[in-house]
Amino acid sequence: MFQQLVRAFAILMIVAIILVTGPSRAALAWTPSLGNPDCPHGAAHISTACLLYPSTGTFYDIYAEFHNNHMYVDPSLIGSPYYAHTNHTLWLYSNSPCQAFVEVGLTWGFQGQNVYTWYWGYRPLNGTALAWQAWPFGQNVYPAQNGSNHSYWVAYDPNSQEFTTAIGDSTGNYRVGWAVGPSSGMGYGGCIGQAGLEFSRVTDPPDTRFQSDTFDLTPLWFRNTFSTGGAPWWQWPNSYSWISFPCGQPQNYVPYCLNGTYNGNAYWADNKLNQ
Amino acid sequence: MKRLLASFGGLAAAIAIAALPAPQMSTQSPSGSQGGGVAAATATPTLIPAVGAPRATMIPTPLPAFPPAPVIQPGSVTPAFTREQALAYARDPGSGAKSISQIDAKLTTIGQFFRAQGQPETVSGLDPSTLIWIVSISGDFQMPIGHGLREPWGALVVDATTGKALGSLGDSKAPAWVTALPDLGR
Repeated sequence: MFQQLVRAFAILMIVAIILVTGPSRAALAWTPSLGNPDCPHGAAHISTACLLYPSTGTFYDIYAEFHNNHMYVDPSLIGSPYYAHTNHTLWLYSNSPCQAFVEVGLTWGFQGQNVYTWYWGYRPLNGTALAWQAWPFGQNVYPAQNGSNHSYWVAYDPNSQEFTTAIGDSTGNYRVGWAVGPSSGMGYGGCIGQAGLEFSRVTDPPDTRFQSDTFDLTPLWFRNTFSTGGAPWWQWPNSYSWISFPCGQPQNYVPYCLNGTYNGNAYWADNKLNQ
Repeated sequence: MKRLLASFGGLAAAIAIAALPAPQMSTQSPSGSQGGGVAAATATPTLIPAVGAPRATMIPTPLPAFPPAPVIQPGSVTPAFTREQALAYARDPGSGAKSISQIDAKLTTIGQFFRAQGQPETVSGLDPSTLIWIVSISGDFQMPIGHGLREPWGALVVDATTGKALGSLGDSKAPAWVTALPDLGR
């Protein structure tokens, strides 16, 4: 009991100091890093993940679940000239070199629009890239930021040589896009998987016009064999955790930070537009 | 008071989080490059079986069925969102066009759009008879995928009824299948 009182008193004292000095002045000086080169897609703690698979290997499915949590980009940044957006995405690289990709996820600011929406896209090594809004649960029905859980899946079928992206809920999976395979420069299966939160703009101090909750990506699975009867799933073998502007560093309350995040010593920074 | 509560809550959360174990960091050395994909690591990871099963079945639902789309003659349609409006939309850099040396718009349907790419007409889940503008832009076009992928050619795909952007294309030059699409617009 005494220890609890001491702890509560210490917390109140620290809070008082922060209130007096202001959160920005209480922050430590630091510089955003360039992100982790193994997982350039970037992300926040827990939501960050990166699958590094042997270059001689192939995997056929990557799978994750996460909730429709809060993300927001101020409309003044979405249009010209910023073209800003944020997204939470499951991502599969393919081909050799391992640079073709398929991605599927949630985004705010898609194609300059002030909406929270599902999307998918792909880019072959030599060919035409496609980005497309996705409505897996009905035409023109945008997702709600209601914390509902959804599954995300990118799969490669070696028989049809096609990549499929799907978004699911408790009622099943809904195919949202196809990308034709090696004949169009997409490759045979996957070589690297990534998942996480991405911001097109990171500033110091944090820009309140960009906000996002933590996206709790669980589970993160993949399959390295293909079977129409269902091959075993494996956990992603490794992951990284970064967060730029985590709560507490330099700001300690939303919307001035990405909330619910690990206050770590590795940071994700803008890998996208260098704004 | 709100600020006090927010600060207290944030601090309490930070203290709780600080008590958590440190995140696991990979022991593999960085091997990739930024912006253009990454090289695969060569070390063999230890595979850990997944616990449980995917929450949803991994069998995608069948593609939706729509009635056959009516045949539309080229140059016969003036949609609610006009060609001029589509061009103006695409000229805004906020739509992805960073610089424009050439721009033109072509009216087609979603069904034709996906069929020309070798995909099912209903792959998007939208009615394949939906009219869309494909606004082709030569110059510098940025897409909302691939870390802000930029290409010397791009196309903004806009719903020709609502005026909303549905998606985009990007390539080193206009693909032959886009060039070959008939323009249904008047």
